[in-house]
Amino acid sequence: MLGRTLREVSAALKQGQVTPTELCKKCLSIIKKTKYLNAYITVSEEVALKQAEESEKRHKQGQPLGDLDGIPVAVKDNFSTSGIETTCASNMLKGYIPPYNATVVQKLLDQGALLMGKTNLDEFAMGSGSTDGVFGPVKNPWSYSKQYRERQRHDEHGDSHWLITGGSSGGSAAAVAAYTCFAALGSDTGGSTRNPAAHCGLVGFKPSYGLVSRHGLIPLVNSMDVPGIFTRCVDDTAVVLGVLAGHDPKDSTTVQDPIKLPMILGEMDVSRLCIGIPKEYLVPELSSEIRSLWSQAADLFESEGAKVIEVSLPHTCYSIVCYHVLCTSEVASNMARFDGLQYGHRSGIDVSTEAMYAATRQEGFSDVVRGRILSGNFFLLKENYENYFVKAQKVRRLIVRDFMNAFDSGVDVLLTPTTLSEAVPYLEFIKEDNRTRSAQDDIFTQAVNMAGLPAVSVPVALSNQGLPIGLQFIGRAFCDQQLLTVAKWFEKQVQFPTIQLQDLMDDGSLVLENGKLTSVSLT
Amino acid sequence: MVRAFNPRTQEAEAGGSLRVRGYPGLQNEFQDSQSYTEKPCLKKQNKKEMWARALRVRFPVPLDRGRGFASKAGPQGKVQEVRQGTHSPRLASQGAGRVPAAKIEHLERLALVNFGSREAVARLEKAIAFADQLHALDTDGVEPLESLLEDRCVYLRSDNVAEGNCTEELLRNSHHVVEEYFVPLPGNVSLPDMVNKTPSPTAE
Repeated sequence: MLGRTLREVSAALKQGQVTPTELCKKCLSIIKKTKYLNAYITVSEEVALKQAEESEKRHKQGQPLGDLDGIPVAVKDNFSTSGIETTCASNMLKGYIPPYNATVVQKLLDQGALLMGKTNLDEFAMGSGSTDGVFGPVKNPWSYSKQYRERQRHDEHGDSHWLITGGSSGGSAAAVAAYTCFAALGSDTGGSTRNPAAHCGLVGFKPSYGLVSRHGLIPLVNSMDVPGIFTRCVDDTAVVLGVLAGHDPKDSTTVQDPIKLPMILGEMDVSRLCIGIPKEYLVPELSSEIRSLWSQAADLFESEGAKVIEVSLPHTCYSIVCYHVLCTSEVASNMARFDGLQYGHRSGIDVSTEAMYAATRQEGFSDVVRGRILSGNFFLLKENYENYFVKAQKVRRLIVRDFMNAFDSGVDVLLTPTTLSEAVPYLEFIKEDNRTRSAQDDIFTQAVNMAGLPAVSVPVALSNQGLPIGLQFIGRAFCDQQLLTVAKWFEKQVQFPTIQLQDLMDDGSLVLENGKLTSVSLT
Repeated sequence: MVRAFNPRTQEAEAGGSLRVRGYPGLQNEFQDSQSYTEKPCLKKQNKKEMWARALRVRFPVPLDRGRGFASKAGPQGKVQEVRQGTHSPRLASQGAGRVPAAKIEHLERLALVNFGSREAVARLEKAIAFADQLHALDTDGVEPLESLLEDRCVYLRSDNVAEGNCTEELLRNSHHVVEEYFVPLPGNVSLPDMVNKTPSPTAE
């Protein structure tokens, strides 16, 4: 069952071939087996089993709620979940139990999905490695895959060379990649969903800004944040998006455009497609393997009749700088709510309000978060406001215009790499600080957030090291369905291999034949 | 059918490299009203030639990694060439300016967050130097983009009470509550000097 698509499992549940409780228990056992990945901060076992019970009742009565009824999912720990601890991987919110569900979580639950738990992340979603949370780093399941291990030298088989998942939604990515759930929610501010998706061999989707509600998503950058979706195939993303998309009265930044539901991805005539390749994205730091795959992908589209043209996004090199200023500025503002008074950690200082606030924030926030707050406050100082913050807003408009011009020239979808390289070992990654890494790793992904466009990272192939590489498709605003249709076609062409996780293969949980998942034992 | 990929090297239009001059940051504390008076000098290239060359090959590989170029047109069609760094993209190679101690203190008071160490201040300086690269770009006549939804009418609910009455839930998450009040501390005590010190319970 685990290797099937959401719709297939849903059909199997409806026909009684498997029950929600069996699925739930299987996923819970895999979570236990893969605990070393540190993908989950909180495993909501009781909640999930109870939900499974209710789902089973509905299925027995022949009244399932929809395609997600009885399907295990996971949620990144910066989405508020009523009654379940929500920490953002920070000391500031350790022990914080929200009194409400984020809208996207509520929508999943209303459709009968089973909440497996809250996944690990970089603290407050700041980072590109999922290494900077207080619950420790997340390990990439591919570090333990047969495909990777058999290409390593024998003496590197120890656990010290494990790879990062990418970030900041690494826990969600690891959870889906390791088969602990069928879909997971992440958030995407600068690439936080697409980056780990590329490193973990998953489909990582960032919807258009304004399509999916942010109510309940603990905000990082209000003008760029969106909830993101992780799945193992594009069709599954469409199923989840169909549930999540839509106007929310509680989030005034969601648009009121009607959306055609259910979101079913049809066939596509590739010969009518125009693919744009932004030439500024060809940077020297890009690994030659990814460059080659990018080129092959473009050739593939062309060979099927699509028009493939080079486009220019002239302000690309300023994009990451602009993002840096806007991000830190908005972060400084959003983090101001954490003062210890109404929720979250509160320091024991009792001298004065300000001293208590300061001590609380000192104790609750890590260096990374504090660093961004201080940078942001610097850019927002009266004397710097025009020169940095407003300047960055102007540059942002130029970047948005770049994309508009590219699309206006007839391009339907842009094709770019998602990351500079495959996943790197943790020990390599931590040699540089968080800000430097973010500036490097977000390079292909953050411009999309600034323009609010939909984008998806699709796994393409394994590198020479046996690790996943993904490519990114960027679509026009609110043309998410069209974007996913292109991605689906591409996914079918590349036939990305299944991860061969030794642990799960050894005990018969995953059975593969010719690299494809054929069956999963539910005992 | 997969076309053979033919990487052609991009010729070094590189000839005269145009360094983007960064800003001294806060070393000189002058700020004129524009503050980006220093503009990189512009070398006019034969734009048509460059574009034609770029379009001919799909993925030109730079001759020398350290001197890879991307030419781009600025908003008024001016051509600016920016030198791409060898390492992480566009980390300013210019020295980071020092931030004076008074400003550090000011920031700590505003943010109610400590720097805590000399390294943290150094990180801020690097962040500022990184951000300074923006000043090289001419944005005359460009309006700041505040919201991606600027050409829409954002939905506003009608002013009716639809939810609420959740006092208990809201108070539950606070550490110090008396009846239905959150309890802060005296607010008329000024923040002690916090530069490079972690606040202690006996701070004056």
